[in-house]
Amino acid sequence: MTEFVEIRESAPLTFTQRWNTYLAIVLAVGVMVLGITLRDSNLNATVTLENLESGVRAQVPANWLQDTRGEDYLFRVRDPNAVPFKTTLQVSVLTVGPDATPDLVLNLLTMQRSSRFATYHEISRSDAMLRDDPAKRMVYAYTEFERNPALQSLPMVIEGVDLVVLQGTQAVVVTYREEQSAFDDHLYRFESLLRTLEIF
Amino acid sequence: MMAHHLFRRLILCAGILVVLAGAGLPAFAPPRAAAQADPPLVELNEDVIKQATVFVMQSFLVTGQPMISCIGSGTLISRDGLILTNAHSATPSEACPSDVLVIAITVRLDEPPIPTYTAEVVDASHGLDLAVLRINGYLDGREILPGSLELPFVELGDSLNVGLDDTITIVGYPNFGNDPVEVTRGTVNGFTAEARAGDRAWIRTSAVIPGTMSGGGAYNRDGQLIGIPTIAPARAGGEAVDCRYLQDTNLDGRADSSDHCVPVGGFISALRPSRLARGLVRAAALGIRQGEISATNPAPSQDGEPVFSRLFFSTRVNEVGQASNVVGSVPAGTTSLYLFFDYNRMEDGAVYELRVSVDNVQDPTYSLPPVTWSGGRRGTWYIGTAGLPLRNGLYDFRLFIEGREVASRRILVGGGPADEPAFTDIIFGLLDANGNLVGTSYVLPEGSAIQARFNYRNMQPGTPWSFVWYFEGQELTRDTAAWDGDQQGTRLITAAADFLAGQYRLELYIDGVLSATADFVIAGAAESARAAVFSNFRFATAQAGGAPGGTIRADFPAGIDRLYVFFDWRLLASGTMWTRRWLVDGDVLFEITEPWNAPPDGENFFASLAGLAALPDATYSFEISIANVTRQSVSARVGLGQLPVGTFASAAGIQMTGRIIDAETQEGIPGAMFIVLNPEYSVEDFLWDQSQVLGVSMADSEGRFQIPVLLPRGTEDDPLLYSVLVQAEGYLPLSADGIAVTEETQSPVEINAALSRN
Repeated sequence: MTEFVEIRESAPLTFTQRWNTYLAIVLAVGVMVLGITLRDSNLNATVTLENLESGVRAQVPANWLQDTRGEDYLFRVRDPNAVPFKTTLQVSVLTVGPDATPDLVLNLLTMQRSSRFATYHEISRSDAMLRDDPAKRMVYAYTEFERNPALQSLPMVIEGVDLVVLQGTQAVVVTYREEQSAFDDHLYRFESLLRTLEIF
Repeated sequence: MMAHHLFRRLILCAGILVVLAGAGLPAFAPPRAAAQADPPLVELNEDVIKQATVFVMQSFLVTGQPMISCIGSGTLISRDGLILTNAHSATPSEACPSDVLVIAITVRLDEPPIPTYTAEVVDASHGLDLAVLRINGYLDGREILPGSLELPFVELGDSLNVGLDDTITIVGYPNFGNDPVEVTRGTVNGFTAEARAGDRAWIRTSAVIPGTMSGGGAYNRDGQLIGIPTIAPARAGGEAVDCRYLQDTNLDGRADSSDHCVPVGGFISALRPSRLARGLVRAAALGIRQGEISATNPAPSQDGEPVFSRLFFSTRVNEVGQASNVVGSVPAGTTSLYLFFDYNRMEDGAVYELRVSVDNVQDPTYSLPPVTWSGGRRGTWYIGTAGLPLRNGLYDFRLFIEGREVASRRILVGGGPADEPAFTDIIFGLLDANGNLVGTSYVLPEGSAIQARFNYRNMQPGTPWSFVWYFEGQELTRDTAAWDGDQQGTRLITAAADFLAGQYRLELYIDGVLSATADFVIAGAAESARAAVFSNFRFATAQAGGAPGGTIRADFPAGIDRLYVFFDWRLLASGTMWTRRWLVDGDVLFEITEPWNAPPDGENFFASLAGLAALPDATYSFEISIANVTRQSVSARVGLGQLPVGTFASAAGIQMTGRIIDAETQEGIPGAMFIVLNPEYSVEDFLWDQSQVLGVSMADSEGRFQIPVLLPRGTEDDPLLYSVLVQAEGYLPLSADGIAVTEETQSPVEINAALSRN
């Protein structure tokens, strides 16, 4: 039995088909751009956290885990997606005397952390400004490890930065912590927090 | 047509891209099948129990090098690192020099423990051989703030509910820390009675337990801690009988008999019931310790070897811990037998042992392996067997102190009920104007006459009988007569004398053989035939020069950190054994029995409680007993007058554990976050607020996670439904609602989550 195979040149697209195709591609690209824009806006979306008692308000990333019940901070947010370390932003308030200086507050923080964080050490200290207020900035590092003894993880080197600004008898400490290799990449989160920080 | 299809396909692709690009929205919930709950394998959660078992090492420094001096097992009893263990292995002593108390924990169940933490002794009872430790730092010297740890732990069970032949599970470390934690099963084959602790001072087990498991845990079927395997390393001449030379402690280049040896006990067959540890544990959990007490002048200690005397057997112990009868033999089928004896020059913490042989064959069922002494320097003690049928035979009871036999007594078990004459159940009192016995007790006021009432049976007229009264161990008076009463009944005898404050004893003999005996205390003045010893109780927040200071009232505001109780007393002789108890909301925290060392009369004796921070809101009670007879109980309220709900963390609930993996590579995702929401929230309700979160765990290097808190259970009719979320950078998030936990849900629940890359 003979089998016939018909080979034909494909017919050229009509004007309407051609433009339908172009339109579909443009539409797809447009929707992709829209999706990416939506994603970016979602990832960069912020919410306002405030503590009226201490007079502190700030914008923090939305969809980060927010904790306002800590004993040693007003609020803390952590990025649930970040691996291996959950990028952390935190605002704390310490009561200080009238003669306190930002350096004194940083010394206190260093003493507290030295006994709590493994291999904690200060890297640098510099003058800074928070809007028009003089502030002090300290960069430090320590080793973070899994505290649940049933789980096994390699220790991580965490880099952190504190910015201390004095307001009357309280010192506001803004903190950013990130795994050392990603510290610079996400530093903008800290800067964004500082830009939106209101002390009233 | 073709273009139309292409258009539709492109629209679909674009839609999917939008969804993918928008991933991260909390509302995104994949099919529930992505998270699977595997059925648990065991009824009793051995894994949690093993993880809650720790290895305790005392170490001392030799030229800066740590050396191990003593070892034992222990059990985590709170999430923040309280450990229950034996006092002999955890507290410093001559045999256990200690600079650092090291806690090694079970990280992998099939591997030896890993030294991880340091600890401190919160409180210890050398008599009960129990200690509560608190983890306070890491080995590198970093401190651990209270409440910052989240460790697996077990709950104390009710050891009074343990019955004969119950199956128990014993967990501890079988060696010197070079083997994994071991689980041994056995049955309860008896109970050993002891003075002050009652018929269940010890739970006896058939399990074979190595001595290094001393301090570990024994569990009931519900996984609750009901006993602490206990054995004190036997000593002879001050040296441990069984010890191991593990290190070159004298740095002479060799580890030999000239070095410090690590003492170990033999095999354990006795468990300290957990109820005896409850006070220590609660006090440690509440952060309460005993505060200062009035300065007293303790009697000078008498040097010399311990002395044991007046050994006799009884088959019944009355409500104040005295022998109701005295027996020379007991019939077949007897289920309780107690050996009573007087002792002097003993020390709490000394190692003592009872060896019982039946027809010259040692029987571990009735024996008590080496344990620590808890009776103080002198007094009357008993030890025996309760609720366990004694087989017929000739029983030899032999007492050993520090490995040396100090006393023995023999008794025959067998035959029918004896119809020999006997006196039993002595009690004391005063006669009222109508000649009735009133104020019956074992504590009587000062006076000129005391009545003793006792029961008698099988007495025959003319049988010679006698009584002897003693005062502070010295014979006061005696008389012998021929029996002139009925065969059985109750009889009163009177002793007329100036009964001064002090300790008295009456012995009754039939035909020259001791048949009954009882002790009583004269203290205080008569008030309606009762002895009024203590009065004028006051609570205060401070003391100044031995007098109440600060706020004096019985209702205190929250936040005080000390609570004093003051009282006056009269006619209480030095050396009289008295017991003081502090209770919080009705539960005993501290109980101390010791000789009275203050003058016979006085004012403002005080005892106190101190909080590590503030004393928690509760009702605090203070009780005083003399000769086991409660004389006074007073209470004060602090704050709301009751402990806050949920003060004591419950270990009831299920553990959630599992693995987070890459769906493609099947490899773990380190750092991925597993979130369990409180049961009242679903994924849709979640606003990324920590207050909505029950527990969070980051996956370890292999993707394993373990939620650090236990998930409370619901009921079959009303299960608690949990929602979970899994997040990791570069992956699509997963979430699931409706993970049901009921009383039937077996722990641990294992959830394996496979994440797809985005």
